[in-house]
Amino acid sequence: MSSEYHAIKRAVREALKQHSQEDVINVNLVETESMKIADSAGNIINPATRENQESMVASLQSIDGKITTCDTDDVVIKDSTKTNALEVDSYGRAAVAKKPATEQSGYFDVLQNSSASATITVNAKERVSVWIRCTDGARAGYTGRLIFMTEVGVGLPSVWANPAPIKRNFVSALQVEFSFATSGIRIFVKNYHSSIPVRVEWRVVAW
Amino acid sequence: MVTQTVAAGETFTATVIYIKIKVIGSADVVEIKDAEGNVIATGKITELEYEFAEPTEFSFIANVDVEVTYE
Repeated sequence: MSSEYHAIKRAVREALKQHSQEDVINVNLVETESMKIADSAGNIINPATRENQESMVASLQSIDGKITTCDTDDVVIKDSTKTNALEVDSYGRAAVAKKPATEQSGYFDVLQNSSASATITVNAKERVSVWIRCTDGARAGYTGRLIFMTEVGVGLPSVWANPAPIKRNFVSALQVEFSFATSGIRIFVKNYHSSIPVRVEWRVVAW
Repeated sequence: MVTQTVAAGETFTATVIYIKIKVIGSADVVEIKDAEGNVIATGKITELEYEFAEPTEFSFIANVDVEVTYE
């Protein structure tokens, strides 16, 4: 203990005694190394100000529950905006789904003993997927004979430069994918039933 | 083959064996209803074609201007 320390202790005790009605004051000072609080730029912060105390409390509250690793040399604070982990397959490859450019859906009815086709405008740069589902009047899956055909092409539907038809018989639901650019898609359905109209529900997703 | 323009909201009726309804311009959602008001086709459709085994009376109302070709 230094002589300055004992001198300060005595001075503080005497000063406090004068202001205390009970006349009993315990003052314990512990000599430690000097301690400073600094911001990230190294500027010393005076913790006695209300603003600095509130700022420090807010900072501590903001990392509450986020400390994932803590030892004397390193503290790791989890960033709440980041996901915990990247999912990978058994080969360590991360799968990243490309967001579709457009998604659209609709339906058209095909009367009994007739055929119908709908041409839909899409703007697929890379590929296009088409889902169809055929239902009867009660909106249940239709199991009668249908011929389904879809094709895609580039340019105006009536003069497609690269038509690519896919034709299926006896289908009630189907997904077809064309892996090239296209500007339009045509869905054709022939309904052979003599009295039941069918509804063709379609969904087209383009990338 | 007969071709004519049908304005939005106007009713088209004819006895046809084939009909093509082509949307004039573009619309986000095309809606085509039959004479009873039932929606028979919807979506971003540019063309809709029907072909019947025998002459059939066909009526529709569209929410956009269309060009109709039929026989």
